[in-house]
Amino acid sequence: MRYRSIVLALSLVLAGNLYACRKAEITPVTDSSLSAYAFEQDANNAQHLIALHYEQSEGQRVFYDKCIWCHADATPAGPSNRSNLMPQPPLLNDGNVMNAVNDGFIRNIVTLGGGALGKSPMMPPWGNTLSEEEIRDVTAYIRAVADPPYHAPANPGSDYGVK
Amino acid sequence: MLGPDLSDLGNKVSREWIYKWLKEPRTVTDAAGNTTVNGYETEAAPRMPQFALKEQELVILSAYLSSLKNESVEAGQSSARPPSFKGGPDSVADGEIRFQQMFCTTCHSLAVTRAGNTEVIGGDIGPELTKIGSKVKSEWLTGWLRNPQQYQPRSLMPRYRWSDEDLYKVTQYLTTSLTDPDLLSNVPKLSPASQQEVRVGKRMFSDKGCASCHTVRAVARQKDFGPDLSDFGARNLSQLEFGTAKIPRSLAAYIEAKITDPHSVNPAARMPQYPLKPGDIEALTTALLSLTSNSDLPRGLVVPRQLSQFQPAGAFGELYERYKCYACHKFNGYGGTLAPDLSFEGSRAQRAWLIDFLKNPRTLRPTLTLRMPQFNVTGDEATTIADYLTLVAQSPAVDLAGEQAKPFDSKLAMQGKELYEVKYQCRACHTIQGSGGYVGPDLSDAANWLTPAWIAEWLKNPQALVPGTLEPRRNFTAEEVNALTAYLTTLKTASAVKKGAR
Repeated sequence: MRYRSIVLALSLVLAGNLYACRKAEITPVTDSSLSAYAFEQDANNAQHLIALHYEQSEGQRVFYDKCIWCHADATPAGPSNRSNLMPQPPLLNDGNVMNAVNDGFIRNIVTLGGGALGKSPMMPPWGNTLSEEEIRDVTAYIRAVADPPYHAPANPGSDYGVK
Repeated sequence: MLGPDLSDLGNKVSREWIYKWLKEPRTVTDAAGNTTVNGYETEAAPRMPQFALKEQELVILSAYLSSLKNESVEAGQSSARPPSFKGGPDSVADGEIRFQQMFCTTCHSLAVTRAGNTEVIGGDIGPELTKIGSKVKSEWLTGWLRNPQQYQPRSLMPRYRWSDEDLYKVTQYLTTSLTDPDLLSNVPKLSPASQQEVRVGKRMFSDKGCASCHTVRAVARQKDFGPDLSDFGARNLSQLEFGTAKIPRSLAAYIEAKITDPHSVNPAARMPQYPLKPGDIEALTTALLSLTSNSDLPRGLVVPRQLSQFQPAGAFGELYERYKCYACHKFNGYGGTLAPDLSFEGSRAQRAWLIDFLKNPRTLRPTLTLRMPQFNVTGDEATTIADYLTLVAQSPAVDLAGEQAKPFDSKLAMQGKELYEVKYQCRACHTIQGSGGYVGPDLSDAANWLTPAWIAEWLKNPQALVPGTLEPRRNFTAEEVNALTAYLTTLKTASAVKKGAR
C-alpha cells in the first residue's frame, strides 16, 4: 500500500511538472524527486515524501538493516529495542539531537562505538562491519530525514563531541 | 512439471469446482490492475493462466478431469470420526486451535478481516486456504494431511506425525469454517460425467496443451507444445501474424501485444492469457528480444540458474524428505530462505540441544515469531537428525576439538562476565534470564546450546560464519575472546540443568 502511495505521489509530482513545462517551456526541471533513487516517508507527516539521492538511498538501506533496531520506535520485526535501553538512543530523524553534531562526529561514533566518544557503550562500533562508504551514506541519510531539517552550521564543531 | 499432477483429481474436488477454476482461475485481476484472490487483494497470482474456453468446452473438460480417479487411493481414504476419538461436539473449535498450534500459517495463508480491513496473512510456501472447505472433499483432505506424498509425490508438505484425532479435528475445521457458499453459485448444475464427455474431454486436454504443465497417468507429456523461442529476437517481421491488431509493425510491439492478450494478434491463438503486471510484460518483452543466436551479452550480466541440489542419503535422507527440511532451511546452498541456513549447524549447536529442540521447537529471539512446526518427531528420529548435523554440517572455520581442550576456569568466566556487562555492554542486544535487549538471540541457555568453538569463532568475526549477520565485528583481543567464551559457557537455565540431570 505504501509503495502504491509513493507511486501515486510521484505521478502527481510528474503531472505537475508536465503542466508547468507546457506553460513556460524553458523552465528548467529542478524537482529533486525526478532524479530520486528512493523515498522515505516523513515520520511526522505521512503525506510528505523525502526524496533521497544515491548516497542517501544507500544509507537508507544500511539503516533498515543495522540501525533501525535501536534507533527507531517501530522495526520490521515489530517491537523496537529502543525503549529497552538506558540511556535511550536518539531517534535517527530527531533533528534536535542529530543536527547538533557534525558529520565527523557521526562518522566517529558509528565507526568506533559509543564508548570511544564518551557516550553509552551500548552503541557498538561498526568500523569492522560497515565500509567507510556505508558509514558516509548513513550520515547522508541522517541529514536527509532530520526533523527539524538540517542546515550545515557555520562553525562545524568537534569531530569528537567535546563540549 | 509446473502444474500439479491431476491423476487423482476426481477424488480431490468436485466437477463444479473444476468448471469454476477453468472458467476463472481463483485469482482475478480487475480493471484497476489490482489482483484479488477470492475477492481479497493480494500481490500473489496463481500460475494457472486464463484459457478462453467456451461453455461447451468447460463442461466437457470438467467431465474428463472429474473422471480421473485413482481407485486404490480412494479406497484407503475416510474422513469418518476415528473410533478412539471421544471429544465433544465442538471439534471445529478444537480443530482451529490445533491448526494454529501446528503452525500451518508458516506456509499457508488465510484472509483475515480485522477492523473492516481484509488482508491475506501467512506464508506463501503452500496454497492459500481461505475457501479450501468449498474446494476439496473432506475424505481427500484427511488422506492428504496424513500423507501428502501419496497423492502428490513431489509436494513440499511434510508428513507430520499427527494422531487420527488431530486429523479429524483439523479436517472438520477446514471443511466447515473455511468455506464460501457463493463460490460455486454461478456454476450450472452438472450431472456425473458420461462416457462420451470423458472421451471428448481427453482429446481436448491434449489439444489445449494441458499436458505440457500437468501430469495425468497414461497421458504422454507434451514437450514442445509452444513454439521454440530460442531465436525469437531475430525473427523476421514477415513471419509474424499481426492480424487486425492496431499496433506498430515491430517485433517489440508484437511481443508486447501477444503477451498482454494473445487473441489480439491471433484470434485462434492457443496461448492462454497470463495475469502479468505491466512491468512484468516489459521485462518479458526485453528478455524475448534478447534471444538471438548471435547474442553478444557479456558473460558477467548473465545470472546463472541455481542448480545446486543437496540430496542426503541414508536414514537422515529419509527424514529430510519426510519432514521437508529444505522447504524452509538452506543446506549447502540449496533450500528455502524462511528459516536459518543449517549448512554449519553441527558446528554451532550441541547435539543434545538439537535433539531437545527437534522434539520441542522454540524461538531463540524474543522478537521473532516461532515458525517451526511441531513435527512430533520420535526420539530415534531426533537423534538421527542431530547425529547427522553434528557429523556433517561442520564449518571448516570452527575447530571443535581444539576449543574443547582449552581450560576455562571460574576466574576467566568472571572476567568474561565483566566484559559482557561493563566494557562491551552486550546486554544492549542480548537477553540473559529475562533482562537485556531484543535484537540478538537469548543467551540464557548458551552453555547448553552453542559449542565453545562456535562462540569463540563467532566473537572473532561473525560475518565470516554467517555472511550478512547483524552482530557487528568487534576488536576483541585473544584474551577477551577466551574470557567471553568462558563466561558464555557457564550460562545455563534452571530447567535445562534439570534436563541434563535426567
